[in-house]
Amino acid sequence: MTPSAGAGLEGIDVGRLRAERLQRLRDTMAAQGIGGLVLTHAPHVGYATGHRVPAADGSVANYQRPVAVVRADEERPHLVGGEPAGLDVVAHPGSTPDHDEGARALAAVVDDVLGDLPPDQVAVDGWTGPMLRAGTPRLAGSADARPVLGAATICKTVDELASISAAQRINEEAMLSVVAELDPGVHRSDLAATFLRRIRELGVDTSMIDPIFQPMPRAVADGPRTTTGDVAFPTGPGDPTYREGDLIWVDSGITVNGYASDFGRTWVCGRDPSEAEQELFDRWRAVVDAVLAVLRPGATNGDLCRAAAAANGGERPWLPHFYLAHGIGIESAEMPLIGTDLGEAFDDAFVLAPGMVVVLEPVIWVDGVGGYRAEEVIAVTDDGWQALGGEHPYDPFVVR
Amino acid sequence: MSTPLHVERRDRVLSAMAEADLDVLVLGEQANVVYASGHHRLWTAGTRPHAPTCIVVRRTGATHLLSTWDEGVPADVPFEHLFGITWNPEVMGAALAAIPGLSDARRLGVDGMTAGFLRAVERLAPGAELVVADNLLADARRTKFPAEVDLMRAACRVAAAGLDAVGAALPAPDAAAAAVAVDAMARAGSTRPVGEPLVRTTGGTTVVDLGVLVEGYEGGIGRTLGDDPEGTAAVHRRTLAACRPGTTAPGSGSGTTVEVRGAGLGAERPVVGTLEAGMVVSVTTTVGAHRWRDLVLVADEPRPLLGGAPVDGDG
Repeated sequence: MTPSAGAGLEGIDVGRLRAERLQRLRDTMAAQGIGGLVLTHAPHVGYATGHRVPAADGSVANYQRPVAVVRADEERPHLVGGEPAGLDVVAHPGSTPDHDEGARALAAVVDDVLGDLPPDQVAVDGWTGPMLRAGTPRLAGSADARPVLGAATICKTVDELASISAAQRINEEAMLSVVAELDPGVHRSDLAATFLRRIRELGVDTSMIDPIFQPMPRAVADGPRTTTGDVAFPTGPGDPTYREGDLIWVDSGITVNGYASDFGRTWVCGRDPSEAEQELFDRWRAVVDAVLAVLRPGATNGDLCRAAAAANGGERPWLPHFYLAHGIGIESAEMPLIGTDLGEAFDDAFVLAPGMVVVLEPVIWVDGVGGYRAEEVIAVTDDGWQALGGEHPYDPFVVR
Repeated sequence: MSTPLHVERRDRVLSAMAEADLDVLVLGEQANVVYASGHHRLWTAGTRPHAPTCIVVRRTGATHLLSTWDEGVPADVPFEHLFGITWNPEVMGAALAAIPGLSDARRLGVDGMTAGFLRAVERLAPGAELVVADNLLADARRTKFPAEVDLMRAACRVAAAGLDAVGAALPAPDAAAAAVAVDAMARAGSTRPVGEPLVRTTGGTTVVDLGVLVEGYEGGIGRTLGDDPEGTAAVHRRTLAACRPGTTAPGSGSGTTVEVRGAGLGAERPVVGTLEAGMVVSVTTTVGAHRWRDLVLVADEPRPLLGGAPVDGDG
């Protein structure tokens, strides 16, 4: 609705986006020896067919979802149910796989389209209860579709990168309005209200996560108990009222063309950061700079983890239940996952390549002072990296 | 002191497990997880990849939850029953293997599956027969406890605040009015939508349909603002008045489209067949471009959750 939001969408060719990613999906199927896919998770269906993913509660999203059936040796994917108008798909009447009638309609299409393939060449990303009752696609012996989707989606096309960047810019612009309202006495619901209104004014109706404006404890012991012994984030419940000096960790995500943004910042309520708080940010910035200094095609996840730890006095500067960085695209967090509990051997074996996107989210924590957390969305290019989004400020912290 | 809602629900799930001779339930669908556990967690939009998120063991009566922290977890779920977020299937497998009653389960109910979880189950509970248990949960959830109706009534009030804000903002472009609605509903108590807000102006009338969640429970309202020459409001009131126990769910006919579906922890299944006392149904009446929707508690005197008075059957 405003020129600044629309401008970011110029140059995105949705037709090319769909054609290129479908080709990647079929090439990946062939490379992994998968002849057919049955996809029920809405972002996967969207990737294969272009079908829109609504920002609805799971209970509604499940009932609205169609299913994609894809053959490696067929040009057009099949869409069972949903709204096929405007999509280059073979449309089959049907409905959600979340009730028995829809699951039976799906089973008939799967038999018809993939019936000649041995079960281990048919990969499925998930069965609903009604699909299990219908018996097709078979549960026993079928392959897991997630490695196919993971490999196909990991390197983004130019239009995918532009969509992520556009989503990030709109998300950032909305947050400028939100941070302007932060004052003592303001509630979390006030900030969320402004964010949800503002993204709509900017032409986006897909907030994919209840936006997080979480006042953080100053010490781990003052927060919820965790299985890792570290700080809890992001927790969901409640509508806190902010007080002067609160450190607030912010996180939100919207989509453009089905591609996600991921906004992360730390705000201070009602005053400038103290010197100790500013030093948290300084260390966070140093970690990000150290990671970016080694980020290029051919670097491994392990290289990034070691650079981050070295810039933080040898300690790993991220939440142990998450990661130093994660990918982003059709999911707000997808491969590559960097610094997870998959372990160092996994990270050392994972080589970064052009077109991958990493969302760096180091966390600096000094128990008693508190923590700084923010996120940077970075694309790996042919010879280095490029930030996506619009270089959102770190206010009230200063880069020094 | 009355029994907490999450305990009432868990007891109902345990009874259903006993009736179905299930030893263990492994739940992944978000609403089922909330129903069985009372775990309040961050809301995210859209479908979720299936994962073992809540495990209910009949022998111990215990619930075990995928959660790295205890915030949002009911106090009667011990901290030791939490297993943290992990990306490592071996870590997940070890956490599940440590749950008493899982490895020797004879009959294990699931509400969805993945190829990866099938492999894990075959390893962790090698003797278990897999039972498809989505209907068990749907049946348990179908009729509501009074505390559930209270939460749904609260959610309806939030949606009504959104409707009032749209009414005050008109005339306005549809998208701008929808932005006003989500803002008003957030300030009134919910930032968690059921579906996308509908604001559609054609000619002199504006159709508004809003739905939000309060503590996971659905509320909603649909109204058509402007002239009502076809008397759709009256048709809708008569439809609501027909929502009595033992009657067939109201159907469409002669130019009127009626949709009746369950409502509870989010949208529930379409209601086909007989209504039962204690169900809450979302009833949408559409005549031409006019659309009205209410959530109504099925009773001898059906009560829309937003109205204190019984529905006037004469319109």
